[in-house]
Amino acid sequence: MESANEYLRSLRKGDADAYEALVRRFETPLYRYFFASHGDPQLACEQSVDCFSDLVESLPKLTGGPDQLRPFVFAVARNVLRRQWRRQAREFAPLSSVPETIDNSPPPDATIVAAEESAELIEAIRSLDQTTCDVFLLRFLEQFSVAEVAEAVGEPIGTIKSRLHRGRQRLHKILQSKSDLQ
Amino acid sequence: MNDSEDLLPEELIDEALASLRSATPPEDLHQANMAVVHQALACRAEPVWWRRSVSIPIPVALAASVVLVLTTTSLLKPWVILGEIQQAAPVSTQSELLVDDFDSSMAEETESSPTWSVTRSYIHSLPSLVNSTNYKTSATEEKHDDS
Repeated sequence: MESANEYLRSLRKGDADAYEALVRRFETPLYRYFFASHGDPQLACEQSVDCFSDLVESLPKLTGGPDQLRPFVFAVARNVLRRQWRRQAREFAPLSSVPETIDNSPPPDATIVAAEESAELIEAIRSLDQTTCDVFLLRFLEQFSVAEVAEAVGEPIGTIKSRLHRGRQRLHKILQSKSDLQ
Repeated sequence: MNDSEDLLPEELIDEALASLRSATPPEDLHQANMAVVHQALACRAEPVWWRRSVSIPIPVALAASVVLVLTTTSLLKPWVILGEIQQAAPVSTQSELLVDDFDSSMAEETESSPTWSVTRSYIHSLPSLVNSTNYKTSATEEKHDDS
């Protein structure tokens, strides 16, 4: 715990080694989060770089303890994402980009069906409103606790639970209407 | 109608997003991230002490300003009053100022008293006394010349 506090102090002071450790720890989760939000790998890289630049500016303002570091990093990432949406309304990458992360070897039929279902569900999650989409990605992709999601999003725990509940209802409706069409 | 039937199972969401969990960033992203971090840290380097700024709460700043104004005013007040007095009596000397101060203080103390008018007459009569003294002196000198 003491070493975690020491690490946080080093980050606030602007220690280069501490920032290298920060980059090593968070570059993959951040890239994954950005990529999951829109499916564009190039944009995810750009946003990851922007996020680390913002973190150097904003980390001295972090008032909490080491437990708050992860929610804080993702709160900054959310700001980067929102700024990007405002700057340019880019079209989402086609669904074909999602299976890029899946094993490329020829899969059996069952795996193809599962991959298609996953792609549909990921598309459905992305179609939710921005905050609810973020809540789902943080909760199920990054395995945040509800309290951590609340801290990262800046909303009360009750609101996060409500978003998760309504989001699951909405996803159920979306997938059901798609299967009805097929 | 059961509410849980309308909810998508969490396991299904977990499975769908599992495919994204294996997403790895390109190798050159680490270099790009480190480069931007070093650049941002260089920009964040602390400036020399006279270019640093501190943040203080607004009430403290207001209180400090009020104290500064009051202190400056109280320090400058005697000089302003003295300047006004000198402007009112440009040819006055230090002794005359003292006499005036004395007169005014006496006037405040015994405003309707006849003592004030006597004192004033005495002061105003001083030049005539001097003149008469001069006259007497010259008359005496004439007498000396005659003798």
